[in-house]
Amino acid sequence: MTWPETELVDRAVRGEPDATSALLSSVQPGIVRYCRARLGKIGGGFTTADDISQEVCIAILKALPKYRQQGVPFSAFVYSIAARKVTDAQRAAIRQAAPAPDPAFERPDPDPGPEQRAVAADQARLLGVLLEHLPETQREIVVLRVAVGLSADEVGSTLNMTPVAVRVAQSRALARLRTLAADVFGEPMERRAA
Amino acid sequence: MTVEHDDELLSALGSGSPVDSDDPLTGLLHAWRTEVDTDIPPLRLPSPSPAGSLAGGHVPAQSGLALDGFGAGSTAGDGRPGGGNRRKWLGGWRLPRPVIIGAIASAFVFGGLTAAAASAEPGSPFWPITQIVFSDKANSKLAEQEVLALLEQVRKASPQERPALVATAREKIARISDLTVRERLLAELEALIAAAPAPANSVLPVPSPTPSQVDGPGATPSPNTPTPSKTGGLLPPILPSLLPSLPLPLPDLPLLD
Repeated sequence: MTWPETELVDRAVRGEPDATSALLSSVQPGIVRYCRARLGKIGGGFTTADDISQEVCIAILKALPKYRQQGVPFSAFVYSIAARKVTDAQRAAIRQAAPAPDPAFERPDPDPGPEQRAVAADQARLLGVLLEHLPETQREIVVLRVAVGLSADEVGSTLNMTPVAVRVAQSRALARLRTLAADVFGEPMERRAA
Repeated sequence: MTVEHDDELLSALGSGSPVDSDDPLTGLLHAWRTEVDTDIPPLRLPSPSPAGSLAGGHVPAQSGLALDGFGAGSTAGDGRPGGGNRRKWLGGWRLPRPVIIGAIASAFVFGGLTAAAASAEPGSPFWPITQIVFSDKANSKLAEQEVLALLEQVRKASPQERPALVATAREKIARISDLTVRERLLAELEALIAAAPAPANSVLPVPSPTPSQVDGPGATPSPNTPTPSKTGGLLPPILPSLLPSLPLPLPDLPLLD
């Protein structure tokens, strides 16, 4: 991911509407991917995750004037807000939701489409399941590196880790995921993902 | 070396480009990344801010559409997991709450506005809207006012001037699309003619209404003039489909059911 120019960030922080709009437009797709990766499909779709991503954008907009006071790279500023919003949403969901299993794993995909798409959806869903078995930090690193597209350095800034520590942790995460995936692939994929 | 290789792999996956690998995990990660990147919704920001409002970190609570349900009172998880299903109504359309509220509000506002415009008189603040939206009605209103002025002239005119004025008045009356108003003005004209000693021009035929001039039974007569003739109610509503789109409630229009 190419992060916005510092000048654009500066202008947005000063409150220039065009710069603010351009800045948020440039970071919004990553925020959407982050929220989707963290929250998954709820009720068969990304509606909830997309709602949260919108909320993240509004929160960034509000917090923008104070960005410089935080002394962190802009990516860290953005994804710390996103992480907080997603965690809030998860907590609220736990508080309010009935102890029903995630319907995404109970029902077939309402819009299966071509077979390839169905397989890809199954694969994506399976990866989401595998990620749940990772320690929190490793899971966050995979989300930020793959779903969002941050570099190891940017992930380090966001999670307050050194880049080296990020690279080691991400390798461990991949190793763990490979082990889990190998277990899964020992059985037919549809049975596990369905 | 594994750390470097993994770093490169993750960077490639994170860029969204396809990764050629036999590793099943790579396939899963790529499918996952592709899925979360599909159909990214458009960014919706609070509506154009007054200068400086962004700098002040102030997002107006009533910024409307763009907030899309994320006003100050909306917390991250107020039932969000149920939100997906909640928005499935309207046949799967996703209509944010402010849009629905806004639509209802505009229905009231514009409904009221159109109602006001439909019954506006020349000189009224709604008159320009009437002219645009209800051009037939506007022409009719103008003709009505001209006729009223003409009737006044007829009343004061000398016997020599009177026939021409009466003829003009008849022409203008024929252009009025509101049946009730037309009948009333015609009756006033006839009354003037009958009261006057003038021998001429009282036999001019009354122009018959044409479908394009006929207004609906819901048309509002001008309240400040007497209505000596009640014949409007006896005439059938001709071709209701040609009626101008009246915003007024017409509960007893049978063909609209």
